Amino acid sequence: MLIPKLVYPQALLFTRASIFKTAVRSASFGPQFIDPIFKHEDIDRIIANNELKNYTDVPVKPPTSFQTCSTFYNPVKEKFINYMMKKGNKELAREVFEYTVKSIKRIQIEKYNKATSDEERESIILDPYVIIDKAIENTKPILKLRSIKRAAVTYQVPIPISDKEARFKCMKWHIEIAKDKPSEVRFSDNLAQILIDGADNKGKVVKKKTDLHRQCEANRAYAHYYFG
Amino acid sequence: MKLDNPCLSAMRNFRRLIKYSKDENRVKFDPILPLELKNRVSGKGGDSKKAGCIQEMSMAFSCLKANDFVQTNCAKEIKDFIACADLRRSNKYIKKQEFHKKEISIGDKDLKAWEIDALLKKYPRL
Repeated sequence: MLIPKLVYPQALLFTRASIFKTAVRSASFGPQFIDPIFKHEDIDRIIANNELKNYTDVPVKPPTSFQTCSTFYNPVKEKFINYMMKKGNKELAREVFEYTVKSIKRIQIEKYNKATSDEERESIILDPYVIIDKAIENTKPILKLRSIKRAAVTYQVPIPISDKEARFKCMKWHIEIAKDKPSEVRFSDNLAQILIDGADNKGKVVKKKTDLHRQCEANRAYAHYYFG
Repeated sequence: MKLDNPCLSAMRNFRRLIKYSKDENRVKFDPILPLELKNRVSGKGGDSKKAGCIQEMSMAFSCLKANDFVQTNCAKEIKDFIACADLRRSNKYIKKQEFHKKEISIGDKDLKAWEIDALLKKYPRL
C-alpha cells in the first residue's frame, strides 16, 4: 500500500516568502520542480491518458537513492528503514528490516501449518508487508500533546496531528518498544512479534496509543489554548 | 479587524477625572498622542486567533470514552475530526499564500488588515 497523497503537499515545505516569489527553506529545488515519476505504472497511465504533453517543459527533481522502479519498492518499508537507522548505517538497518520481514513470514507460516480448520487458515495473513501496513494503520494516533505556556503555567494541550506525523510517531513507537527486551532476544524477532500484535489490534503499541488518547481526553479542557 | 485609536486611553482618563473631581470645569484635557487616526490598522483579532475543531474534538472524545477508547466503534467521529483539522490547515496555508502575494481583492466588503494598509498607503488620509 502506498502513502496517500496529501491535499496540501507544499503546505509543510513553505515557511517564509518574499513579496514576489515564495521561497522554500532547506529545499534545493524550487516550487516549479515536480516530483520524479519513476514507476512503470505511472508512466503507462500518463501515456494511456494522453497527458505526456503536460510534462514536456517541466523541470523534474532527481529521484532519491532508494526510489526505484523495482517490484520490491515500498515507500513504507524505506521510511521504516530510515527511522531505524543509526549514524547513517543504512546497510545494517536494511539487514535488520529484512530479518524482521523473514521473522514475520516464519511466524505466520508456523501458525498456518498448525491451524486445524480451513476457516482459521483463511484468517491468517501471510504477506508481511500487508501486516506492517495494517499495524501502522491500527496504531496511528489522531492527536498529540503540546506544552503551551499561558499566564506562566505550562499546559499539555491536545492538538490535531497530520497524517505524515502520525505515521512517523507510530513507527517510532514500534522501534522504541522493540528495543525494550532481554539481551537474549533479537531486536528483529521482537519487532516482528510487535508488528503482528499491532495488526491484530492488541499489544504494547496499541496500548501506548490509547494511553495518549486517554491523556488527551483528560486535558481536553485546555484545547482552546491552541490557536491553530 | 480593529482600528487602533491612540486617543482612547486619554479620553478614558479624562472622563474619569471629570467624574471624581470637585470642579468639572477646571479639569484640563491632556492628549497623550495627536488626536487623529493613523494610516495603518492592526491585524489583531479575527477568526484565525480562535481555537478550531473544538466541537469535533469533544464529539470524538465522548464517543471514545463511551467505547473504552476503541477506535473502530467511532470511525465517523474520528473521520470528521481529521477532515476538520486538514481543512483548517489547508485554509491557513492559502491565507498565508494570499498574504505573501499582496493582491488586493476588488468588490469585497470584508477587507483584510493588510489590504486596508495597502489602500491607505496609496490614498493616505489628509
